[in-house]
Amino acid sequence: MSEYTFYSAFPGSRPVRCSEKTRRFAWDSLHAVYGRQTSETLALESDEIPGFAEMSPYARYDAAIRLIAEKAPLRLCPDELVCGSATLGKAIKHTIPVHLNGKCFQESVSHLTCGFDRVLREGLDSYLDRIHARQAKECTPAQEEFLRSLENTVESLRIWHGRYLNLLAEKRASAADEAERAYYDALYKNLAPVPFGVPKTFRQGVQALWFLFAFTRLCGNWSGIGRIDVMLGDLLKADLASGEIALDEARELLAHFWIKGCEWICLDERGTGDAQHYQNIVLSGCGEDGKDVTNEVTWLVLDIVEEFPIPDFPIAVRVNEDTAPALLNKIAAVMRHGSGVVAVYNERLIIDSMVEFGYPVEEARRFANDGCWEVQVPGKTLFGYQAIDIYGQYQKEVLGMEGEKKDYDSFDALLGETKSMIARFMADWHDRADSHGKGGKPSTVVALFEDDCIEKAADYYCGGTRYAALSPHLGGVPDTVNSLLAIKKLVFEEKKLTFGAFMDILRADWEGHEELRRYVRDSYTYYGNDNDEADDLAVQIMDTFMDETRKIKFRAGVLRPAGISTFGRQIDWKDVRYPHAHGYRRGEILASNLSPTPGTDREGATAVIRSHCKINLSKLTCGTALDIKLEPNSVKGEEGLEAIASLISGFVVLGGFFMQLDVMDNAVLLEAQKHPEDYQNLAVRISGWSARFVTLNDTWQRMIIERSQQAGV
Amino acid sequence: MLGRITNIQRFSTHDGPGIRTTVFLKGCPMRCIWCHNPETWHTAPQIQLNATRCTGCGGCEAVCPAGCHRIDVDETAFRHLYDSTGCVRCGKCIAACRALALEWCGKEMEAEEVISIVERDRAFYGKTGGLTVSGGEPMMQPAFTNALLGLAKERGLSTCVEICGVGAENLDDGLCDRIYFDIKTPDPALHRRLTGRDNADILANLRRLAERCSDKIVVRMVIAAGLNDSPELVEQLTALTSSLGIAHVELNPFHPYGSSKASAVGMKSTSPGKEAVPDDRALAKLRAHAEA
Ligand code: SF4
Ligand code: SF4
Ligand code: SF4
Repeated sequence: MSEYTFYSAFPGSRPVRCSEKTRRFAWDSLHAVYGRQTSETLALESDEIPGFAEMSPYARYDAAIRLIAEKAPLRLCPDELVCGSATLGKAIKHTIPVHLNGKCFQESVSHLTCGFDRVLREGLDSYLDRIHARQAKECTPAQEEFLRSLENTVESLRIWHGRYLNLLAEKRASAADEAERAYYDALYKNLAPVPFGVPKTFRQGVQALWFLFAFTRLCGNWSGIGRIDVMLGDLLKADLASGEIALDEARELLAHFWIKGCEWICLDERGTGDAQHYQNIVLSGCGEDGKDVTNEVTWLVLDIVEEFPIPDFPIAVRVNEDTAPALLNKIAAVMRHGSGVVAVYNERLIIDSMVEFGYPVEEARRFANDGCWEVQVPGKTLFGYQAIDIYGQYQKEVLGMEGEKKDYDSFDALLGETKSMIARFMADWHDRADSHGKGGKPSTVVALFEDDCIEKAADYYCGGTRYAALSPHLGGVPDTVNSLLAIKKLVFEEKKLTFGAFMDILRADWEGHEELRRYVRDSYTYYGNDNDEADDLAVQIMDTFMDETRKIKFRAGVLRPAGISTFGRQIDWKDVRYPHAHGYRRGEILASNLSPTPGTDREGATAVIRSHCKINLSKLTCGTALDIKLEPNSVKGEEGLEAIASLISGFVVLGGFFMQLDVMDNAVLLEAQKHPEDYQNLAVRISGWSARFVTLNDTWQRMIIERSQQAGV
Repeated sequence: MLGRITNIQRFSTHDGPGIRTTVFLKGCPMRCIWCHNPETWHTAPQIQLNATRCTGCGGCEAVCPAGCHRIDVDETAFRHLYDSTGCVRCGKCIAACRALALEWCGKEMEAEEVISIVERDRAFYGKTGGLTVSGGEPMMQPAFTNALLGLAKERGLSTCVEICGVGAENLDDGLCDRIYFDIKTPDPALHRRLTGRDNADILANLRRLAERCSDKIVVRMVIAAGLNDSPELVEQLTALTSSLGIAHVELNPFHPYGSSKASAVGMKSTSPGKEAVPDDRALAKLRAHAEA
C-alpha cells in the first residue's frame, strides 16, 4: 500500500500502479510544491537588454524570448523522468514573463493546440531548413523580420536545451554513486537528440513532447497537447515489441509527464480556480484514414488519471458507436472517481459537421481542440471566440426590461421577436468578425508550430495559419428558453395575467407575488426534462442562432463555426440579470453552457441528455458542452460503472457533442469549504477544465454546489 | 390495460443491470417494519406533502373534512402536521394549496402509456438496461405487470421484476430476464413479527419459480441490525437457495429512508432508525458467510 492517498468520490478506491517515488512526486506537485517554486521568480527583468523599450515589436519579442532561454531558472525535480520546467510565475498569468518597468511587456497566446506532432515526425532541425528555404525566396521587410524571429525561436530553444544538457552532465559528473550516475545519464541520453532530431524511442518521444510544450509554456503560452496517443503510440509499440521498455515503465514515464503538467499549481490564491491553462489532451478516435487509433498510450493515460486526480490536462476521449465496451468502461471508471478529468466527444457527429462546414475529411478526422473543448484542426488554426450574452439581450430588448416597455399579442409574436433579435445580432457580428486575424502582437513561439506560418512568412495573428476561425459563442440559451416557456404558459395559454403586468412583476423582483413565483417555478416543466414543449423552444432558438451564423461560413479569410458556451461567465452575468420569468429571483443561478438551468431539471440524467440532444448539434461546428453531475450513490458498484458507460453510449446515439460528467457529493464539498486543508487535491469540473475546489472563491464554490445534480435516487 | 402507479423513475441504477426505468406500482400485501417505500402500501391514491414547498398558509387545514392537516404555528416557525387517517380522498386540500405542496401519490395509467415513457430512454439501455417493475408488490396487479413485461419484450427491452413473493404464482416468468425475489427472513415466526404475515406461500412460490428458472432469480435480503442480522438466518437462507439451485444471493443494508416517505403521505413510520443500519464490517462478514 502507498503512503499517499488521492481524492476520490469513493475514498480509497483508486488503484495503485505507480512506484512510491512517482506517487510522492504526484503528491508534492498536486500540493503546489513546484507551483510555489515557480512563483518565486515571477519574471525576468529587461533592464539587462539595452534599448529594450525602444525596440521594434519583433526585435523586443525576440530579445525577450532569448532572455528567457538564457536566464530562466532551471529545475530538476527529485526523481523526475522527464526534464524541462516552465519556471517563471508570470507565465501562469498568461503573459510573456519579461518585465518592462515592472510589468510584463506583452500578453501571450492561448486557445490553440500547437502542431507538436509535426515536430515529433520531422525534428526541429528541419524547421530551420524550412525557414531558410523561405528566406531564399522573395520577402518583404516585414516577412524578413518575422522569419528572423522564427530562427531566433529555434535558436532560443536550442540555448535552453543546451542549458539543461549541461546541467544534467554536471549532475552526472558529480553523482554520489553509480545509480545516480546512471539516472542522470539516462535523462541526458533521452534529451540530447530531441526535439531537434526525430525521437527514436518512446522515452525520447515523451521527452521531446514535454520539452516543446514546456518551452512554449515557459514563454507564457498556453497550448493544448492534442492527440497524444497518435503522437506516441507507434514509438511505444515498437519499444514494447523490441523489449526496449516494459509497459509498467512506460506508464511510470508518462505519469511524470502528467505530474509535471501540474507544476503550475498554486493553492494559495482563490478565484475562478486554478488548473485552467487550456492544455487539453485528446485520446482515441479515428486517424486520417478513418481507422481507430486507440493504442497502448490511450490506456496508459487513462491508467494514470485513474490513479491520480490530475485535472491539469483535461482529457477528451473521442468516442463513437463502435468504441470498444472495455474503453467505455475504463472511461467510466475514471469518471467515477470524480475530479472531472475525462470528458467525451461524439467524434462522428463532429467530423461530419466539420466536413459539411467545408473542411477536407482528413483534416476533420485530425480534430482536437483549442485546449478547452472548442473543436479545431490542431497545428493549423488561429482560433478565437466571442461571447454573446443572448439572455441578457433578450431580457433588455425583447422583454423590454430596459427602455421602452414592450407588448405582444401572441406567443408567436414574442417568439418571432426573439428570433429576429438573434438574427439582427448575428448579422452585426459577422461584420465585426471580418477583421479577425488581420494583425496583432508578435507570437512567433506558437507560429513556429503552426502550418503554414513559415511558408507564408506570416505570423500567427497575421494570416499565417492555414485556418483562421472565429466562433460566436452564445450563452444563456436555456435561461432564455425557460423564460419563453413560462410566459407562453402563464400569459398566453392560461391567461392568468397580461404580458405587461407580468413584466411589471418581474421588474419588482416578484415582490408581493411569492405564490405566483412558486407556481411558475414549480408547476411548469422546463428545458432538461425530456419534455417536448420546452425542448422544442430550445430547438427553435438554437436553429435560429445556428442558421443565422451559417449564412456566412467563410468570409474575409475567416471561418465562422457556431458554438455555445458560458464557461464561468454565468457567474458574472447573474448579478446583472433582471429577475427571471421562470420563477427565479434577481441574482439566482443561471444555466451553464447548454445545460439546464440549475434546479429546473427533475427527471434525472437521461432526460437531461435527451433534451439537450434534440437540438441539431451537428450545425454547431465549434461545439458545446453538456455538464452532468452525478451523486456517488447513484453510480456505486458494478451497476454504477455500467450506468456511466451507458450514459456515454446514449449520448453518442442521440447526437450529443461533448459531455463532461462529474461525480461529486455535495456533503463532501460542504466539508471542503469548512476544512480546505483536508481537501487540497479535490478537483471539480468547472467547464472545459477542472480546478482544485479550494482554489475557487466563495461564489464559484457555491455555483458548483448549486449546479444541478442529476442523480438517481 | 390500466394499472395503479406510484411513480416512474428514469435513470435507475440499482434496480438491475445498466440504466433502467423503474415503474413502482401501488399496493403491497406486506407491512415490513423497515419498508423504504411505505407510500406504496395502499392501493388507492394518497395525498402527498412536499414539506419544503409548504408555506404554512393553512389553506388545506381549512378545507379538509377529515381534519388530516394541522398547522402548528409559534413565533418563529410553523409545522405542518399531516395524518392521513380518515382521509376521504376528496382532493380539496390539493385544490386549496397554492404553493403546490400537495399532490396525489398514485395514479392510474395505461400500460401503453407507461411503456412509452420507458421507451424514451432506449438509447441508454444498450444490451443490458431496460424496464424494472417494482413496488409495492407488482403481483398485487398481476395482469398489469405481465402486460407491461410483455410490451417491453415486444420492444426488445430487458425486463426485471422486484417481488416479495406473495402472489408470485401469477408471474409470467417467461417475460422476465431477471427476478429479484425478496426474502425478508427465512424464519416464519420472525417473518410474522417483521412483516405482519406468514411466509409459507412466499417460500412455496420461491420453490416453484426456482424449478422453472432458477438462473433468473436473484434472492435479496435486507439486513437490519438487531432484527435479522444473525449468521444463522443467513445460513438458513443460503441453505435454502442452494438447495433450490439459486446461485445469486444479495444481502443489502437497511436504510432509514422510509420514515420521511411515510410522513409525506401522512402515515406513522414503523421504520427503525439509524441504529438498525448494519455497519460495513458486519455486513461484509455476513456476505462472506453467505458466499461460504
Ligand atoms: S383529500 Fe384527504 S386530506 Fe385532502 S382534504 Fe380531502 S380528506 Fe382532507
Ligand atoms: S395549503 Fe399548502 S402551503 Fe398551505 S399549509 Fe397546506 S400544504 Fe402548506
Ligand atoms: S414488501 Fe417491499 S414494499 Fe412491501 S412492505 Fe415490504 S419492503 Fe415495503
